[in-house]
Amino acid sequence: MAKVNNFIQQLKDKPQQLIRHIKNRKEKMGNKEFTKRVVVYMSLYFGLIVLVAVSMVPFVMVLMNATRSGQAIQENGLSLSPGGYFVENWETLKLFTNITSGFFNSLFISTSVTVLSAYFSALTAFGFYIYKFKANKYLFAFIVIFMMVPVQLAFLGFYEFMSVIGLVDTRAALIIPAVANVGTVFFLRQYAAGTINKEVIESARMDGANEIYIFHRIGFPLMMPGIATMSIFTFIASWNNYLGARVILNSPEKFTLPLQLANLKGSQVWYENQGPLYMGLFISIFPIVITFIIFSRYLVDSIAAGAVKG
Amino acid sequence: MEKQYAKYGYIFITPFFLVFLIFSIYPIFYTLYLSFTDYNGFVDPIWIGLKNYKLVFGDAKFWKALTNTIRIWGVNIVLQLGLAFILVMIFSDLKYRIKGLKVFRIVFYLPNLIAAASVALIFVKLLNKDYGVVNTLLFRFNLITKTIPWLEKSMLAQLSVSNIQTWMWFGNSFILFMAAIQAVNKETIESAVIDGAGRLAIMRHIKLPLIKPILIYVAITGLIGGLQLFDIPLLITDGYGAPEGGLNTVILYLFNHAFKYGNFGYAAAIAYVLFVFILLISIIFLIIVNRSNIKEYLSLRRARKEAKVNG
Amino acid sequence: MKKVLLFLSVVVLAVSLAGCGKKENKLVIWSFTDELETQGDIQYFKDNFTQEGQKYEGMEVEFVIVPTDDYLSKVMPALRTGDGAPDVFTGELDMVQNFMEAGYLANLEELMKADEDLDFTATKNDFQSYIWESAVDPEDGNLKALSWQVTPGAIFFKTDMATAVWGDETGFPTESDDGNYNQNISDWVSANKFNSLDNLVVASQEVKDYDSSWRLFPNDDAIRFFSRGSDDASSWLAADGKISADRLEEQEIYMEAVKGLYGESIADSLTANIGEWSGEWFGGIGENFEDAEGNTYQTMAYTLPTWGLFYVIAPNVEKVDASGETCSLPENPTDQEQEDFDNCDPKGNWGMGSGPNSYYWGGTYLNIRKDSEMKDAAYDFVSSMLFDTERMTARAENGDVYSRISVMNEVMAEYEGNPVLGGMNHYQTFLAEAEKISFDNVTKYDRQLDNLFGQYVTAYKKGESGAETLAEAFNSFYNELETTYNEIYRESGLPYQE
Repeated sequence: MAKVNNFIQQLKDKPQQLIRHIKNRKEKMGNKEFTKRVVVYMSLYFGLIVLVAVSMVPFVMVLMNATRSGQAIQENGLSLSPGGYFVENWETLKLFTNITSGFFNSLFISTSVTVLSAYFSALTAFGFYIYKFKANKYLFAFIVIFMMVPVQLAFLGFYEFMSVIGLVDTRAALIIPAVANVGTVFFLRQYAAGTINKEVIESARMDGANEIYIFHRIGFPLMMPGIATMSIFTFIASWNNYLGARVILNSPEKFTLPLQLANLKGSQVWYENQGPLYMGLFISIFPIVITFIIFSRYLVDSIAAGAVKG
Repeated sequence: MEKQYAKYGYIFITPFFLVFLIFSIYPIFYTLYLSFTDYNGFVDPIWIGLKNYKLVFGDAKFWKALTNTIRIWGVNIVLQLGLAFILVMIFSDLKYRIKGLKVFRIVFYLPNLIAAASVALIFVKLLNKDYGVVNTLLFRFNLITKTIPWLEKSMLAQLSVSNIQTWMWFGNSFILFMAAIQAVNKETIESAVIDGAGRLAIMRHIKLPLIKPILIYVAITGLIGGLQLFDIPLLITDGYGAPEGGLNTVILYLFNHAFKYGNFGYAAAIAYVLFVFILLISIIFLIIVNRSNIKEYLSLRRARKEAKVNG
Repeated sequence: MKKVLLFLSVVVLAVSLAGCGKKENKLVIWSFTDELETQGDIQYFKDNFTQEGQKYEGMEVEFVIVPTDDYLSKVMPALRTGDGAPDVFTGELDMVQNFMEAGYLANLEELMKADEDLDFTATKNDFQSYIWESAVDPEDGNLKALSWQVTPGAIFFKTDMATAVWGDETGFPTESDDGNYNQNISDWVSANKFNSLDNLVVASQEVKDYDSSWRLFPNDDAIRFFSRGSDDASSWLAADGKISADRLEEQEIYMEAVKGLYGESIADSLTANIGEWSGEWFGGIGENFEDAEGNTYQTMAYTLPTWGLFYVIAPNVEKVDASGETCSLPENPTDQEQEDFDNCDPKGNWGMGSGPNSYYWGGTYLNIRKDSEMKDAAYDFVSSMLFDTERMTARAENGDVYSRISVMNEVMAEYEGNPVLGGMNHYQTFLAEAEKISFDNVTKYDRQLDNLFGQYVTAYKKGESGAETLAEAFNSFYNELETTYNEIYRESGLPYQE
């Protein structure tokens, strides 16, 4: 009880403290400087808020449309006010798709992909950055160059090859390639250049640490903000991966969320009622935002925090 | 010393290359093979040698598509990186501490979470000339007297798409830059401030060099992604890149050849011509970015040579 | 950390590899729509073939929907490798022609002839001839696929608007109570206004002259199905297999018609410049719609096929209550409001006429994979949809127009009239259209050439550079044709060819 009272007291004090604090600052820096600061802060926050509004538009629209009737969406596609069809849309969506199965399939595949990609990309990037071996530059250039080949036609051969090695209609065909995530390796290799101090590695060796230990205890943690950043992107890409899953998976029980939602597009309901579709979109975005919030912990929050770590 | 560790380099990158060879190389070489064939997607490919490539080089529509793509990408990359830089400067400023980075970071990334198909759907409804929301609002507030053809005149449509792309991707660049900038030492900046360095000078001489590796990553992947742009133009036009062919990008052209006209061989050739183009631009970019290193390297080599001659 | 990751990776690999079960005793069906499910065909097969004591006892039926946009990219590699490929799959006509050419399809004709319960010749004669002809493999003359439906198109229009514009012209039908009024208007409009591309442009002008906020069509895409201009138009390919000069000359009329309709602003245009499938486009089916400047417009006519009547027109038409007042539904209706709205009836102010030429749009064919291990079951499934005329007749009330002549005759005889069309019998018009469709001049390039040429029609109507004159537009098209379809390109003798 005392704690609660204390807390309430603190809350009461807060505005006064703030005012006192501002007054203090004002006295310290003088009127002119103070006014300047207020103006700068206000314009910065104003600019940021405008940017926030612009960024929020599609998200809010999807959310709102998830609560509106198909009729209303058809007649007026853009609206920032909710409707009363949230439950109905959810019911319709469930009628046409197996959301639960899709959700767990997606979750399994995306999590596996993210873990594999994070670990092996870090390992590969570390290998490229720390060790001077003959083929280093050539192999690195090789994979970066391969990244430049347009992949729109790649699935033509991909299915055939998967058929040869027996991976058609398996989750493995979607998960294993994560071990070789070229973009992430490229990023982490660049990132390591800014964060891993080679002298630290050297002194660890002096202390008798072996290379595997060094990677896990020094390399990996130092690259963590970069790995977390890339993991967010990897997770999102895998979560939204439609074409890859479409090409590989044949059995409905293995279908991921995007494939399940696509069922809706192949149905007549698509023309008549887009409400459930937005509901589906909303459901597929939600886990990503959660992931974002989880991984954000590992991202560095401000330049000051980073400096302490570095 | 270095040499005894070299083997770990190979060990560390082996899993990557094993999987890479199995899953990525085959489709890529298959596409390469297709580019030398006539293939409609159903009947077996027929080998026709370099004919597809000859056709690509003589195809005015391909070259127009390439210029379109470069224009859309050029405007987009300047805006996108510019905006990300400004945000980085704001959030990494030591004097003005802006609160709420965690929230802003997520919100700025939101446009990228929505599938391109929905993004296109939204913008078609917003930017339609005769019935769009934007023109309706402008009209209602008497800001225009004639509807603006956002997506119907070549130049304006290209500009619109550049902006849509910027809107979709600035959050991504911002997050990557912020991840990189944490490596910058706070004390270095503080002492620079004491020495009277301005914000731009700090950006240019301290922050920029430190995030250069990441900048290279963002630029190269931005180049690859930008020159391979196609979903938005596909979805906000008739699917062929009207108006006036202004939104016909290289990959859209490739896509249509493959999946609408059943010309997989020709599409594959377009893919490889674009690949070579991206490679060339990347090399030029890397030379420009690393020109001081290269100069240093060359002069070092010259010095060594001279030393040898003299010695 | 390391051990956890290693463990995770092993688990991931094990679980994901364990997922590859072989399919046994399973009939796999793929489609790009949910028709087979919503019409109950899948369930019918399950109920009548796979239950205890039935022919395929214990057989599993797996139905997979792949949306149209991805359908070919999904089906193609599966058919090529045969790995994980479906036993039965659907396709639109141009896909079927590709499947045939690649040799993926089972010989349906052979399977039919082997079926003792089926009279092959009688069945053949009972199918709408264009459906049958369209799925005959030119390679060996055998039938490879069939569709249970026909999808001919029409021009749907509002009779009250037509009466207002053309009511004073000679021969325009006068009001009658015998239930034939909409039919009479439709006949008159088909014969006098919709009968040629030129007349469609004139009619569009007349509608606009009558009321500056009225338009005949929502957009100029509406006439794209009439690009041939008449039922005896030439084929895209001449006898030598190269592009036909005659066909290109005929296209000039279409290009001029499109240019005639087009205007950059709605005020200058003979159409309302609405994108197909947009909110306003749907809105126009009901009453009216508003543009960005706040002007209100109304459109009279929509070009749509059979399914368009049921899925597009009917759900969106203006409804009236018992006193003839227009019913409307607020965005978030109460239960009472919803009920009142549901009790309203269509105004019955729509007619359907035929355009300058007959056309079809969509239409789902059933295919059996050549190497399917479940060919018997696949045939029985297909057979239950195509050859069971009793079943077809029984479920005809869902509005689909079937490809079996005997079925449609029976359905038509009992039909009481479509309330949306003021009691008109839409089957009659559709079947008359279906009979006009001929496959003599259809080629496998049709859809692609229509698309490719269509781009230059659009460029010409807007007067874009490279297509400011007919000559420029044609030559730009020839250039693209040379790269795209070199095998049918013709060096000389084409209109305006330089």
